Amino acid sequence: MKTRYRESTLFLYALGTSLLAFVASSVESLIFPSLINGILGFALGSKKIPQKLLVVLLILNAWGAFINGLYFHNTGEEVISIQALTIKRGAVESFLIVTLRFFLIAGSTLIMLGLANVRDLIRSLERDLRIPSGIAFSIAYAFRLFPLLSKDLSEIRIARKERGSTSVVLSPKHLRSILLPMLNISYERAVWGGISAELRGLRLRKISKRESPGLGDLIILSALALQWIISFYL
Amino acid sequence: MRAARFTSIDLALLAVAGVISGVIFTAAWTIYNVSEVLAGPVGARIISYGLWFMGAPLAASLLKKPLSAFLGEFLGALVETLIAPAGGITNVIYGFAQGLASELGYLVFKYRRWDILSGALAGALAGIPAVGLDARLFGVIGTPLEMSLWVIAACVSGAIYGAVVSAAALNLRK
Repeated sequence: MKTRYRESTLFLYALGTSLLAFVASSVESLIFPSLINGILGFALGSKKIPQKLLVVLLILNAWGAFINGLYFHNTGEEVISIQALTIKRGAVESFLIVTLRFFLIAGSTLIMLGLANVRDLIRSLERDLRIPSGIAFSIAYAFRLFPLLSKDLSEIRIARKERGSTSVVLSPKHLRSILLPMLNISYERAVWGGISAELRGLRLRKISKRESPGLGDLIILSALALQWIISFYL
Repeated sequence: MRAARFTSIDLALLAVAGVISGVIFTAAWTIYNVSEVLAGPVGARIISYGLWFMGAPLAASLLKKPLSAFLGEFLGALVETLIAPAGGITNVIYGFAQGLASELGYLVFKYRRWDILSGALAGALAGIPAVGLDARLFGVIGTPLEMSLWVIAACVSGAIYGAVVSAAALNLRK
């Protein structure tokens, strides 16, 4: 048995753990999978996504969870009181649950992104999970467009600055004025990209054979099953 | 009703809608967090939620085909997941549910209208599953009055941004 894993198995793993985050609703059931996925995910993901961004995301999410907990669940016995602010048990529990869910969801996604590159992931989704080839083409093409669109956006911003307009989107009207030129350029690019794909025989393209699962897939899926069991039965 | 048959050009346009929406969805996280502190839960929903519903009206206005709204929203969510893991794979779940709700906005007109009105309706309908999923995942559950206000705020925001993006897509040089 091969030890290699299919990228689509990582996608299933991330989907399975995210569903676990939806279903589990107590600190006890979330703590084990959240810590495992969070620590592993942030360690693996920092290779591909800047560590600063991950820390900012973590702080923003923790802050949002704290505000939500304070606003919606500040009930029960008093835990701490700072001048006029009284934090109760319900707020602390809610903060912990939401933060642990974030750890679980972001961690499992980072594991997927850390162990697979996007191109291989899309190919594997098409080959192993049989997502429609048109959708796979759209996702792959979207990632090819990504650097071009960032370049377009920076040029639009420069043009706006030179005309004395703000480069930051402050209202739906601003958004429209940035979207319109981006869409104009992208529309033309997409038309010719589509014609080119058709001429190169997109419809005749054969999907490669489904790969048989390896030992790596078995380990990943077992880890997923184990986390569900630990969360609900232990 | 026309059958949804996508040409290569449609698929490329879907990719454009997906990547633009994905970038907007990623930026919406920061806008939401800042606006929640400044404008509270209702204000934050009005300011930011519609940004997460723009994929559907954008794709539908570009393609004008059944299922394009669903695919635009879903693809945007998938791109968002792959470029920044703020919401992780749950983005895909949100994208799936919001895409289906937005698709209804075009289905009620029997896929005959692809204008600003249908775009606004598609954006507004996506607000309902979004607030429902927030309640399940992030425990954002208030009193019935608060919940109603959040749904209305999300729908209003969706309608505004849906109308804006539809207007932009309909004014393209073609």
